[in-house]
Amino acid sequence: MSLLSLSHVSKAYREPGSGQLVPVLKDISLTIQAGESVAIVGPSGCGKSTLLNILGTLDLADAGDFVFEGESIAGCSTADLAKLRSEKIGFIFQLHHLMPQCTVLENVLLPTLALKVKPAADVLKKRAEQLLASVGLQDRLSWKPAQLSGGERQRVAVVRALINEPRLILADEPTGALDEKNAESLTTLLLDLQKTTGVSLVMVTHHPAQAARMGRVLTMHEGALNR
Amino acid sequence: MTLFQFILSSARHYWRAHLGLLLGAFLASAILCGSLLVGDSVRASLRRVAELRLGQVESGLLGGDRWFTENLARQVQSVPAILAVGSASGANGKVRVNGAQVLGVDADFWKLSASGTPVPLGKTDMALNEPLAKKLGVKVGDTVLVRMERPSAISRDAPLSGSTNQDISLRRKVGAIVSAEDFGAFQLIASQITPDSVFVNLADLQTQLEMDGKVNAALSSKALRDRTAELEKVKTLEDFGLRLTRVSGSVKEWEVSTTRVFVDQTLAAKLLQREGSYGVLTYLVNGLKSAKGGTPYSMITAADRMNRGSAPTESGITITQWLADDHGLKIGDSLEIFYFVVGLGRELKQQTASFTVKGILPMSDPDVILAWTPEFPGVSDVDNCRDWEPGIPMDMKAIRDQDEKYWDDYKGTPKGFISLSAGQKLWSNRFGQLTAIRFADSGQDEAALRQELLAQLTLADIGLVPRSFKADADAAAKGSVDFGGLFIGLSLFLIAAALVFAALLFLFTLERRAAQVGLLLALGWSAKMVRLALLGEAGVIAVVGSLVGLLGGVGYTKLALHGLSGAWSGASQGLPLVYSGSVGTMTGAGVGSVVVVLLTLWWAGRKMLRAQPRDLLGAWSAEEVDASSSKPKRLWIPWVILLVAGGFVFAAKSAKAPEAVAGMFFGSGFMFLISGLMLAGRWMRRDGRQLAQTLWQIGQRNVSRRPARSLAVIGMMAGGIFMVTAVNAFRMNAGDTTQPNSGTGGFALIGESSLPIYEDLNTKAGIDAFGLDEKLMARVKVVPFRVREGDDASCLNLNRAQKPVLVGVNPLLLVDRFRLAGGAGWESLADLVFDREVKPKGATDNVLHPLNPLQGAPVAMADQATAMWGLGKGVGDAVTYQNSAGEYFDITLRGLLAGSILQGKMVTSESAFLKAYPDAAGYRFFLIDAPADQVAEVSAHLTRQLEPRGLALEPARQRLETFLSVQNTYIGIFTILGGLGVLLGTAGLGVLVARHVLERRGELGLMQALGFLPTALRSLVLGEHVALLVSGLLLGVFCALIAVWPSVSQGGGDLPIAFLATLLGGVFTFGVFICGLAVRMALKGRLLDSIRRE
Repeated sequence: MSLLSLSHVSKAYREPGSGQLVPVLKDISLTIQAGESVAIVGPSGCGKSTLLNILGTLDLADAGDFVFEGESIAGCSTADLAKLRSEKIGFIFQLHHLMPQCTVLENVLLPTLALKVKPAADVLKKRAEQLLASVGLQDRLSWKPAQLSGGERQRVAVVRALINEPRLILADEPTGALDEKNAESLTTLLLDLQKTTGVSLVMVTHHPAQAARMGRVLTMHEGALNR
Repeated sequence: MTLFQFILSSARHYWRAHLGLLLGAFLASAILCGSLLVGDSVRASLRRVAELRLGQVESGLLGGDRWFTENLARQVQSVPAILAVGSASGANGKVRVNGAQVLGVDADFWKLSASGTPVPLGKTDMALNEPLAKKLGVKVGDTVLVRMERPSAISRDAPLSGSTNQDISLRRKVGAIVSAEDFGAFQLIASQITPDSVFVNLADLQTQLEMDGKVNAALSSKALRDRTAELEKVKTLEDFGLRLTRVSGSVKEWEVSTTRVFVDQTLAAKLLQREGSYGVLTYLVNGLKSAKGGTPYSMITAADRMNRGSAPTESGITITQWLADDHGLKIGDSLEIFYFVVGLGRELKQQTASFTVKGILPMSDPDVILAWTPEFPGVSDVDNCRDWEPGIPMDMKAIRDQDEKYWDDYKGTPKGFISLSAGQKLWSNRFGQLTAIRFADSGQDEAALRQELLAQLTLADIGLVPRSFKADADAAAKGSVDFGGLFIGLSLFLIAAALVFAALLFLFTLERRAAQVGLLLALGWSAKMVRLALLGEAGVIAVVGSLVGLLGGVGYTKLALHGLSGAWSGASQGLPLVYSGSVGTMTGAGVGSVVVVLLTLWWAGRKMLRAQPRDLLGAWSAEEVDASSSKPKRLWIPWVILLVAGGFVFAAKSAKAPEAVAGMFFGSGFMFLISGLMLAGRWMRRDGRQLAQTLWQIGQRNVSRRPARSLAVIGMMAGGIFMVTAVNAFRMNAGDTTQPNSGTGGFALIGESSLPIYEDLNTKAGIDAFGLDEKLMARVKVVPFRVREGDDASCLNLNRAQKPVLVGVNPLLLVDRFRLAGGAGWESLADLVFDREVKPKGATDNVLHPLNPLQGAPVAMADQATAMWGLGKGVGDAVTYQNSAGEYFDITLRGLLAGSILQGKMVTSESAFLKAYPDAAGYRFFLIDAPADQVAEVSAHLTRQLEPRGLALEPARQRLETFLSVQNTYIGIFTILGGLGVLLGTAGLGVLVARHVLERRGELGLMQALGFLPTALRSLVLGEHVALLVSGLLLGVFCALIAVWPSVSQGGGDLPIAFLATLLGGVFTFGVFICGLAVRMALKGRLLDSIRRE
């Protein structure tokens, strides 16, 4: 069963100065199934992050259709998109983007604040603690990000992406800022969690080895998908 | 975790980054709170003054020129008092204080004071209040001379009212000097300035004024309005100035006459309602002339009863046998009567009327009696005709022996009788149309009859209505100048600087946390929620800053009050200021400042919060996103603004009103500023730049790298300098006060007299009355005004005037004087108007034609500032007054005068004034034209010769400058507070520089790595910011110069040039210093390490 599909999506940016349009995505069509893991690879500037932003509704396509769980997002308001992101999509970025003012537990619970309808606070807390325990951070609940190592911070970011039980996780070079060992470990963790939770995972990466561990690999070149 | 917890932890975590915001909120709160507390304090001070001046007095009766019985006051548990005006001088006569309040009081008066402390006053001493004692330089035991006018029951303007020279002098020892708390500040007029007061023993003053048992004021600690019924119950005919006497003529009659010679028309109308009553009018005529002889100075009575059954005729006269014999007259002969009528002042016009003798009464006739004649002051009470002082010029030589004999035998018994209608046609005047009312005596009990008559009358008929002094004082204090609002306005730039400072630092913090914002948006937080979280975080800081700011506000208030009591006393006009701060005000200020800070931050951050999460996650600043995507739009706008600004300067050349010129130049300067900033912004965003090949060109790139930030610096500097300097364009200047269209109306002198001056000083009679130098006075013109006392509605009075002073003048004397700010001119007040259209060519005098006199409601002119600020009125609005008959009437504003010496007064025509206040006698306010080279001489001469009347003169220009000083003081305060704002902005610039440089440490480290010396890099960064500072200052100075050009072109005498030059120099020096300091601090340490961290 397909989770989402893009049909003939294209996107262009206006060049500073001249004001001319520069195409970034060209006629992209793809479908991602529920529970599937997909890697997007390609050289810098080929449009990987833009594609990921469109999948995460952080950006909108200039043309084409984007259907998520059977419904087109065309015409959705900013508020609708925010709701979709908070309920259905989890993000992991190259930088962890943890809030330095919040503890590990608070950082994980941050996305729950955006939920319109949410479980009781103790249920959410228990879920966060279990997820943190599953990534080996059960002893770091009240630590601040500054007190964690790079790998630990990124694991917190992974747990934060899962806290609202999303249908899709979008990871933009999540291991880019980690050393090889930590990168390997985080990829394993992501795949384990993807399997246990049944969430779909789309990961942008430069590492062929990590990409190879995904269920499917999509290669991009100059804004187009090579199949 | 809840949103609130998230907000709190964020505020806790980023408190260092928010120190600027904290400081901004502190300053905004302190200034806002301080300004409002200044308002509170001024209001409290005014309330305090009102408490001191009124003590426990709640209400009272004010008779003015009408005196009522002391008993009337006592019957309603009020305190009787005499309120009069006089002049006071020390025993050596060196210092004289005019316009002093002379109070006749008894022991009960002191019980009404705030302290209730008694001040015993014997018959040989008097008490002075502190200000008067200080002015006279006297102490207890010294002798003081008080000169005042003996009151008259009848207006001294009235015909046959007796001599005007009725002054009395009281020489007494000073028994006590009364403090403000003990009623030294007593006055019934709402003013913050304590009057000069003399307190005299009531009984003593009554004796001296020949007013035994009479007073003209009653003061009560209760609401007298609630006791109106009681007052009406205890009133007596004496309170109305009426007398009831039995008259024995051919028939027995009762006669109601008055001590005022002429019975008030309101009273007469009511008394004539009695069945069978008729009116009597007896007049002293100048002479009777027939073909056979002449008789000087005789009484003639107009009364229909003397027709003895025949129909009254207009031209028939019944004479006495004595007159018939004197002239050899018989029935059918003609007889001419000569008599004076009084004009608007005491101007006398002799007129003649012809009658035919239709009857001759023997001297034994029971109706040929003295009872027809009222008591004319100066006539009835003398033994000899030659001792008469009736207040009209008399030719004593015309009095013959037989006239003296007649006086000896018959006193003032009338020599002729005419019909009432004929008499009223000749002798009716604004004071009345009857001298008595008679009705049949059917043996009524006198006491019962008195009650019966009193039942027909009310005290309101003579204007004796209870007045609520306390309520008036409350209203005056409530509506007073809002110093809170005023100080907020004056401190606005300082508040704005604090807010801009806070907003800029908040934006920096926000920019550094752009990725966090992006993340929250990516996590599904709505933009509203993110905004709420960020503003909530700022709100926590703002609350803390504002709370501490409240304490700062108390300090600000005390500083401001200190200023208002010292250097800025022009704004507070002598008000003794006390600090007062209410919790409500402080709470309001705290909440207000938090709201203002948050609104500012929301406005400042709105652009960033509109940015896309993907951009924010990339840690781009919103500004960079904007700069990269937007193309310059509407390139023509700055040029159009420049064009309009130029148009304003051009138009200002043809504008006449100084305010309009100032406004246009100010507007032009402001538009130059805006267009200057827009063009600077355009330059920073320009495309197609040349290759940067030098360090300075790199610096230029840095300046334009973040246009909004650089423009904020230029704008803050330029705006600050412009506002602080340009507002001085509105400083008021008296200008050429010799011009008739100036604020002085071209008059050289302005004066007020303690006692009324009845004579026209432009006439020979006036000159003779005061022994003036005829030669000197030939080139002097005096415009006299009648005065109805009221509240000073000028800007010198901080209270809201409830009943402004009303003055009456012949408006034709002021045509083409002063400058009209709106509405109609002086002609609109006149009964007769100039008709310029029909003025014959070459005619020296304007042509007059009648305008339906006083058909509509009375109209007035007022100074624009008085109308707008003192009264809150405009052209077409009406001010309600109470006339002497106690009736309310409206005076409509027809025209407004621009910046004039007539501030504080409503000016109406003399005829309209006298219609409302027929008893108001004489003139007490004067505008005097004198040759420029003789002004001092004229002033000294008039002051000396009119010293008995307490005339005080001052140059009109000086009075105008006093009025203007209020507005100029406000501008001065704004300039100083604005200057502080600019310095604060400069300090903010230092913080901005430090933050900016800190952000660039990495790139500067790179440049060092590339081989640039650290000193060169410091110079580069410093140069960039000094360039912004100088650009801002130059733009501000240029635009400000345009704004103040009218003043500069006249020599700039009104501009605080020294202050402004110091400010400019100070801002530049401080700015360079603070930038240097910021650069040094931000670039200390090893820049190269920054690259490694990057």
